[in-house]
Amino acid sequence: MKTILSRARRGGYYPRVLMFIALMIAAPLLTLPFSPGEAKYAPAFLLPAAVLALTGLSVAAAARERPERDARMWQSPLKNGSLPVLFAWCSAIAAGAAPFVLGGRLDPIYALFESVSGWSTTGLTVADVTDMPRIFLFHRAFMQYCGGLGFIIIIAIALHGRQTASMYNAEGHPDGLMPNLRRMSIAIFFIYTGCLTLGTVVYRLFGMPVFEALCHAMSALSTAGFSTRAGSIGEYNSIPIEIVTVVLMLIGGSNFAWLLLLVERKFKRVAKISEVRFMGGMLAVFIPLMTVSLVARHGKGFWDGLHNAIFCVVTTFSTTGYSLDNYAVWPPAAVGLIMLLMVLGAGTGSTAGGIKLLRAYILARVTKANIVRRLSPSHSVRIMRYTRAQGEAPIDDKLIRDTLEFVSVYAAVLFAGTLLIAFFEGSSTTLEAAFFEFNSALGTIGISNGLTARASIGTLIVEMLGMLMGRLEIYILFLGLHTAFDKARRRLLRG
Amino acid sequence: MPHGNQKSDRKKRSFTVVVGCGRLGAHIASSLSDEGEGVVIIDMSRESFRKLSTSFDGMIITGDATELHVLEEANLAGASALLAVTERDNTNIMVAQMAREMYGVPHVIARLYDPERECVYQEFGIGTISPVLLSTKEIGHILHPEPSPAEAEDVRTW
Repeated sequence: MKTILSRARRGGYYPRVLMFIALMIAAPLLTLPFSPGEAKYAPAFLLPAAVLALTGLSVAAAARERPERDARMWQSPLKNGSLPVLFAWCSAIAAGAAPFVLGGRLDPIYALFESVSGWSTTGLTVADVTDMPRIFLFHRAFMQYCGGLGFIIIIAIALHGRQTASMYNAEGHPDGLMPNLRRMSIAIFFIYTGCLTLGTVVYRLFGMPVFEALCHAMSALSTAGFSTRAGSIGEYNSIPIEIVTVVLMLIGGSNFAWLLLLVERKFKRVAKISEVRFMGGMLAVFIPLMTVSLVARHGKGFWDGLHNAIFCVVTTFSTTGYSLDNYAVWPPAAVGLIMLLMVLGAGTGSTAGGIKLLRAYILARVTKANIVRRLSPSHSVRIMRYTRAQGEAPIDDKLIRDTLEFVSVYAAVLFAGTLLIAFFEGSSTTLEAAFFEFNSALGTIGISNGLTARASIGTLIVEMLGMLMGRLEIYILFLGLHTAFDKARRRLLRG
Repeated sequence: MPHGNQKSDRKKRSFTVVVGCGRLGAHIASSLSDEGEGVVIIDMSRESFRKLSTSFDGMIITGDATELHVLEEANLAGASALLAVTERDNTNIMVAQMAREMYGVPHVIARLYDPERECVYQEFGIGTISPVLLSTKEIGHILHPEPSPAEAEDVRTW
């Protein structure tokens, strides 16, 4: 046993990832004692988990010991970490889909869709949750919880490797806020698990059954949005449950770094962070707008409109995607606001998707600075700064360039995906519906206008790619593929 | 005035702060981080952090370490050691003194180029590394592989 473990350590990164994913897939088996009637589904989870674990072990056993290659250190960190991260996500997606297929719940492509939607914390669904066994409901929620945390954080807790840091950056997490990555990952893990426990207990207090409480808390925290009910949170028709959900979604949409500061009770520092202020301002603008558009154009009463607006704004911008109502029948202005919020997304380094508030904030600052520059004398010098959780930082050319690049690539992908879906769906849909649906997938939100539920295979594949890109911040997909091709080509050339 | 000592009693001191991300600073920070230690590295210029290895997973702070708020940001009160290895002796001595006197960091080591300044550090109980003295000693060893006690004394006093 000891030799196997030491070999696993030696085999590098890949075997360990496989074993971790095996554990995650096997986790839903823990629900069996509470619902013994579902024991017949156990093999559907055990089999993929066993296959993954065995593959991991055999890869580790076959691996030869080789010295750390120092040449690797000279490559850019993002490129360095992107392939392993992509590998982790792809194997997790395949493994997450397997139980649905083996359990006979979904066809392969739909199972894959459900799995991508789960791990990427989107929450678009092609499954019918009304007659889904509990073990599968838990599987969906648990995928989202782990996907929200990120594999690398989970892996970083368990081990310290030379590659962990670059993978951590590649997965799109916040910069170091603590002197050690492992300690930081542990802190993040505890904060999230703490919030999960609290959320479950509070849901239970307000009358939600324990199992559903756990699943909803997991999905809300990871800003994902799989529900155990067909009507989502709206089905409970309870204001306290809505409030709890809004709070959990806000926690999920916050940067891990803010949460760390909050836990350390450094409230003043949190209040100073530019992104937090921007988020506050955004809520203050969008909630009244949404309320007005619902009250004036949808015939809702003021209070009804207000609580719907608050829930809808938070669920969209935190990229969760729980719903109270059928958004497809909402007035165009409200739908437009939802689309805008979808693009914005929530805090950088949170579990949310979208272009992220920080980028939106920097764009706003740059725009303002541009106008000011045109109005002021040509020799005037201005230095822009913003406040992060770590402290003040300058808005320099590199940051501006990165932001602009990302936003334009995001826009390009958004348009390309919309057009592809419009193509695949043909005359059965409108361009607006296609845009809404792909926007929802790319921002990992998961609000649907019903297109996904009856979509063709092509649309599903486009949406899957969108969700993956949205969660991993677009670039990494290209970089990972490039690295993979590069490696394969070199190996072939070498003979 | 920060009350570092009181804070540190509650919280375990558990990481190293490296001031100055030059060749020495970057190398030390990277190897400490590879060993799984907690590391905070401070430098004035963002460009200098590229010398860190890609596996560095500690905390990076851009700022002037002689300013209190930067040291606060690095949570110096919780540091177990501070290495002042910027290229300027005066900065090193000031940061080292602040770490020692205001935050009570147990191990403070500073690099200094000018050996004549060493006496200042000794008064404050700060460990010093002097490239000049080290090189002198090494050169002495190379030139006189087994020096007689008298010669060794010579090198030291020189």
